[in-house]
Amino acid sequence: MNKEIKFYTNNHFIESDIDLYDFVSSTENKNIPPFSDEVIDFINNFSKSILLDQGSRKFPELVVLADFFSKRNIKKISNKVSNKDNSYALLPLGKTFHIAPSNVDTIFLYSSLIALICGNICLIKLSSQRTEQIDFIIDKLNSVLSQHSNFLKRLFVFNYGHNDEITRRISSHIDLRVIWGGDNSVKEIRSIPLNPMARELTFPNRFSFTVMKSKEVISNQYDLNSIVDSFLKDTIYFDQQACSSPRSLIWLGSQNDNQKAQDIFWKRYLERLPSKDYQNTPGMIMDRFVASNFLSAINLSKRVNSAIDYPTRLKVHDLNSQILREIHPGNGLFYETEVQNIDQIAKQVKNTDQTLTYFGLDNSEISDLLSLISNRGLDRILPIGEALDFSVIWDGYDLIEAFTRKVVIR
Amino acid sequence: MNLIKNILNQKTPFEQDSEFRSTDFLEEMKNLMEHHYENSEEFRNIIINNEYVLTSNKLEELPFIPTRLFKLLDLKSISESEIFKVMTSSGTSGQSVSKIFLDRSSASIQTKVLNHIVKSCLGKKRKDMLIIDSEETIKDRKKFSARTAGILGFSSFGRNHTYALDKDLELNLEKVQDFISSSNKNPIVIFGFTFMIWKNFFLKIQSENFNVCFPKNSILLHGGGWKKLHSEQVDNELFKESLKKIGINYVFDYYGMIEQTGSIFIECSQGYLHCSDYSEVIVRNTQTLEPVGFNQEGIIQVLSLLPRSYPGNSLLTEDLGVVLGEDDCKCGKKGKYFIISGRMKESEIRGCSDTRVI
Repeated sequence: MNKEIKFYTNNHFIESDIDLYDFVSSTENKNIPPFSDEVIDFINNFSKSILLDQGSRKFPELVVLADFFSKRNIKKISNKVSNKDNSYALLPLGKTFHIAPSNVDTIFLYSSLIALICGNICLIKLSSQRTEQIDFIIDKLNSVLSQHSNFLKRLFVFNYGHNDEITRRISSHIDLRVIWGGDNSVKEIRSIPLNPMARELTFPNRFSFTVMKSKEVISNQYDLNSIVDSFLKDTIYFDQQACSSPRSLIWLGSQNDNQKAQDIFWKRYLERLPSKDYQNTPGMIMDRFVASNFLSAINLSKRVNSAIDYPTRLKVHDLNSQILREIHPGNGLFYETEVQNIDQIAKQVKNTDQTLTYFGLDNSEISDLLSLISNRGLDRILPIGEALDFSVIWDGYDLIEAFTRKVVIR
Repeated sequence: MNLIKNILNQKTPFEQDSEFRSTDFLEEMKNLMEHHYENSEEFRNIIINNEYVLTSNKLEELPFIPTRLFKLLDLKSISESEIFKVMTSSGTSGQSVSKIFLDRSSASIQTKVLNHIVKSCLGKKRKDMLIIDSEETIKDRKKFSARTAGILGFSSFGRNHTYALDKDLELNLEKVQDFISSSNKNPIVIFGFTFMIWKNFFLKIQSENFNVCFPKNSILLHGGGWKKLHSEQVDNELFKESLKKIGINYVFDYYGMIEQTGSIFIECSQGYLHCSDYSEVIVRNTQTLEPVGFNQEGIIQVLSLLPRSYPGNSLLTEDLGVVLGEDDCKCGKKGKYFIISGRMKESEIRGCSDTRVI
């Protein structure tokens, strides 16, 4: 059965007699402490190898990833988890199993590598789809692994076809399972039992949106170019398909201000857009055309412009329908709705909503909003421009806490 | 309705020129859209919410909806009690299915129009028919697929139907040879899906050095698309040349979709697909969706006079094609003639999720 598992990393023991099942089921202690020098060195070399390769310029998201895993940033993270009074010891969980979504983007790598930094052993299952980005990353991991042979038994990147039996066998021995993917794949994998002691983290479909305070947008106090650029940064990467990419805009203010704000914002947006690195393929246009037709057919949206335009703007009455969230294809489509007060925003938040990016809200308005939300909705509230910035707190989890355990000492 | 009846009375369905498209055809298309506006709530919502205009005097300015919409919504312009038949097709992805609602008269018109178009190519006299598929395909009604529908629809153009493949889709050569000899050198009609004719029929005959020769003037009619064959470097030219080796000199491709059953586009003697008087094709730029001129590639929009029980008269497909001219094809048929050049590339799936939502 092990033959079905195809390794992308050069874990040399695979050629020897030990197989992956023996490895995951062995109880031999292979833990190293979280944020150890050796793991920080390893990760920093990985990060450097990306940045030093000119080829990475083609993939801005990989440069951002490399930046996140620089020694400087990892030290900053580790300083925040300092344990001042020594009332506990922070230890890794052990063996962790990370299941990537079947698309080929690299967002899942953040959580996998944070688990590694926490001292865990990482088994990463990729989809069988290979892209330039993934090949690039695998190549870098392999060259860093060859310099850090102690990690050859700590980091495994592999793939196997749709085979629940393999997932079940690995899951029965590991200490943590992390699943990225669409709701259906998450559900499917979750039905495969875990070792009773194991933890599980899931990153299913989420929805994100932006709140613009219209009065602030139209006031001359702020640089409209930078507002527009921040919003563009949040929405053009990953073709607007990351779970934290804003897909909707809520305009907050008087009717008059909302109208004015939309006019000047979108006018400037179209002026700034041509200089940005975005794509608008015929496939993306078709997706917007299908979504606009579908939503207008069931009376959930009205046109502002047409589906052929990039971006396509659809006026929606509110965001209360879950269908609006499920049908949104990304790819340069925005729902827009107008509200007069914070309470009207809170009422539209649904359980699946993840990131609210904002412009012009002050702290008291944000805390008002939070106090008015009466469901599971919202895990991140950030200024525009930061929607895609990864942080160790994600989807409501503190990943450092999730990937370690605290041993109480008195 | 009267327009369809008029065309049905014509000797062939390829007699009307561009003048007709901008007059009678346009007027009937507008009437049909008005009809769907009155009778389909979803269609009405699309028109209102997108501010589409139904009164334009140019065919290319009338609204079109994506074929994919029939996979997402039940679109119909008849009441529940009038539903006579629901046709479903699995898409290429196999995930979602198109649902097409027919009342009695729509179903009957589809059959009549298909007859009219196909007979112009096969001749009036029914010939013995060899179907390159398995009989099981039409027996299993639980899996009523586009293939089943195609076989059932086209089988009325032949007699003594014989299925060339067994239930595992393996060629039964003996059966084929018996069939050929029983036809007494009279021309045979061979029908099947493009890919299966190539893979399960022709390649099998070739690789086993079987000596098969069909009677003179036998005709092969095939459809279903070239996607798989193009990925194996097989184009229409090679396909036709190859079939000549087993005595089939007349090979006609057809292009059609379940959303416009009946008014199919059939290949002419010059190797081009032809609009019939029941249909029209407009090619649109992939970036702007504006109509493009002859000889330019773009997305295929198909228009058909037939759909009345569901709003499927004007559809934007995801096929790419090129219109080569109108009314002047060397084959003598009027109307636009075109080729299908491929399928649009789907958008990439990116970010954290892994499913196509629409």
